[in-house]
Amino acid sequence: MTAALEIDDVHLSFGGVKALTGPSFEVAEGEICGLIGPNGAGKTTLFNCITRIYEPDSGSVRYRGRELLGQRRHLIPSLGIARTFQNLGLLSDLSTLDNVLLGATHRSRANLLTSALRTPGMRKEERQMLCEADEILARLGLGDVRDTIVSDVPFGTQKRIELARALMIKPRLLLLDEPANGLTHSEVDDLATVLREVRDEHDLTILLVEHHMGMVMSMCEHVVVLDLGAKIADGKPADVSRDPAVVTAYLGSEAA
Amino acid sequence: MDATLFFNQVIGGLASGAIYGSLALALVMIYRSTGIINFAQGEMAMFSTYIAWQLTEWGVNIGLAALIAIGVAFLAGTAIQSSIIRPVEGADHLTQIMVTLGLFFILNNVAGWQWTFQAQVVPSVFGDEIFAVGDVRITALSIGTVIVLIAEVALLTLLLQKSRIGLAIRGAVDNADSAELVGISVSRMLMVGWGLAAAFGAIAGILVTPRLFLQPNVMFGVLIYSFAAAILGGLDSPIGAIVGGLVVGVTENLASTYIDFVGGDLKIGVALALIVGVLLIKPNGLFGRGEVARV
Ligand SMILES: Nc1ncnc2c1ncn2[C@@H]1O[C@H](COP(=O)(O)OP(=O)(O)OP(=O)(O)O)[C@@H](O)[C@H]1O
Ligand SMILES: [Mg+2]
Repeated sequence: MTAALEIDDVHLSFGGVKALTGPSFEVAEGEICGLIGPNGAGKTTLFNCITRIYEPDSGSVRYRGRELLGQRRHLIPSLGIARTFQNLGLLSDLSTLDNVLLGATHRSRANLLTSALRTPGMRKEERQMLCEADEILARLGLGDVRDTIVSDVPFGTQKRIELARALMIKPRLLLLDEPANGLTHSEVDDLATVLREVRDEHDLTILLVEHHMGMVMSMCEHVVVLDLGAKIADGKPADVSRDPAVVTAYLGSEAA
Repeated sequence: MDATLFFNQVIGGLASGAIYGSLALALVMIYRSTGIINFAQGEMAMFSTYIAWQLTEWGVNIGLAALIAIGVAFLAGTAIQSSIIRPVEGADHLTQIMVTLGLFFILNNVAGWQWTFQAQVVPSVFGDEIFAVGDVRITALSIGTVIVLIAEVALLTLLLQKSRIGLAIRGAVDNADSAELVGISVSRMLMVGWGLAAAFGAIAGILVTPRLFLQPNVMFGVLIYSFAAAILGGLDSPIGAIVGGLVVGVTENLASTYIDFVGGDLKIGVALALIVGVLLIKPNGLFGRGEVARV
């Protein structure tokens, strides 16, 4: 069986900064894989390469056997890939609901004309999307802020709204960049539960970047560790957390 | 003070103001979607108006000619965006300004070469009737112009606030990266933005030329007033563009009537003074959002 995601020797430098120096790993279909590493390790940069925001200098990124590099960015969602951003990619002057509805864009058949004329087909589609959005909002406990403008809700809630929007894409592969950032302890537990549930229901594969070690260790079946743009460990959570290279990387970054 | 004169001037001002507002709306549309100030907006409008005029010369009814010209303007707007604006999207402001200025001169010269600089009469889409309320005279064209402006704002608001395409356009403007990752093609949305702006400009041109005569430089003055309108309203606010347009139109008319040294010749000075004044006192205009989120 082919892996859901294969990262193969990806290199990317910004001027003199070598952000990625050739990490390679695979994420198996249906697993929750943690991607961890100290600040500046290159985690977000790798996400940006996978989702076509950055163009790597060399290497390959394959999704279910298909090369992603070279794909047009706005077609990524129709391939079944969704992500959230570390520093939020929401439209801050729109309501929660509108932001989540945007997640359905790639599935929509609306064009300028049908959209302006509000044809019956368009209205039916809108009703359908509205139903789906409300379901996702309820599931993530966002019903209360459904009609609130996004900039008026706390950071942690915005992160969950972004997750809702990503789920609205109906992805097969979900890339989450620090989803627990800004959440309280009990909220982190809820988030972990929801993520496991949606993974089971929709056969999702999840790649999770997170500094919250408790969450990573309890949720992930597989953990990859980056440091200074390179992979330094790859395996089961328990093994990885004992790996001397990992311990050093984290201690080193704490001492600095 | 003569009340009839006053009201006539206010009404005349509202009618021109509606046109400034319409072109200002086009400027705002493009500024919001690409961060570019389109100096060629007026010339694009002029060119579209020539198309309408040419069609009437060939015997097409002005209403139909106007609709065709507006449609052509929309398509031309999308073509201009994808051919000459897209390559300078990430460039600095000066480069972008040079490109729209270049477009300004090209359109101006091509129109002069094709249709000469002789003034042409464009028939009014709303006929030539004049209504009198007491001593105050209102032309059908003025009434029609204001109604069209209201319809434009309603359409734009509906499109941007209520429709899914509108959401997508706003997404593309606000945060291009994340918008693309929900499947929005930002470049297509920007094309639509330019198309709509060109269509609004064409409407302004077709409505103003029955009063000003059509010649290649006709929109230059109108563009200055529209800049004043857009800046007064706040460059990123559609409502601001409309209110700004009406205020500029009325101010211009009243100033030239009641302030002796302004008269007819210095009218454009009123617009320039407004631009400078607003930029000094309230740089974001009346309805502006402050620093505009750039793509
Ligand atoms: N657009 C960019 N321009 C220049 N340097 C960049 C850019 N993006 C990332 N970098 C650099 O690449 C390196 C990796 O950054 P990245 O954001 O991927 O780290 P990270 O692992 O996500 O860290 P964190 O845990 O703090 O989010 C850093 O040195 C960063 O400064
Ligand atoms: Mg990061």
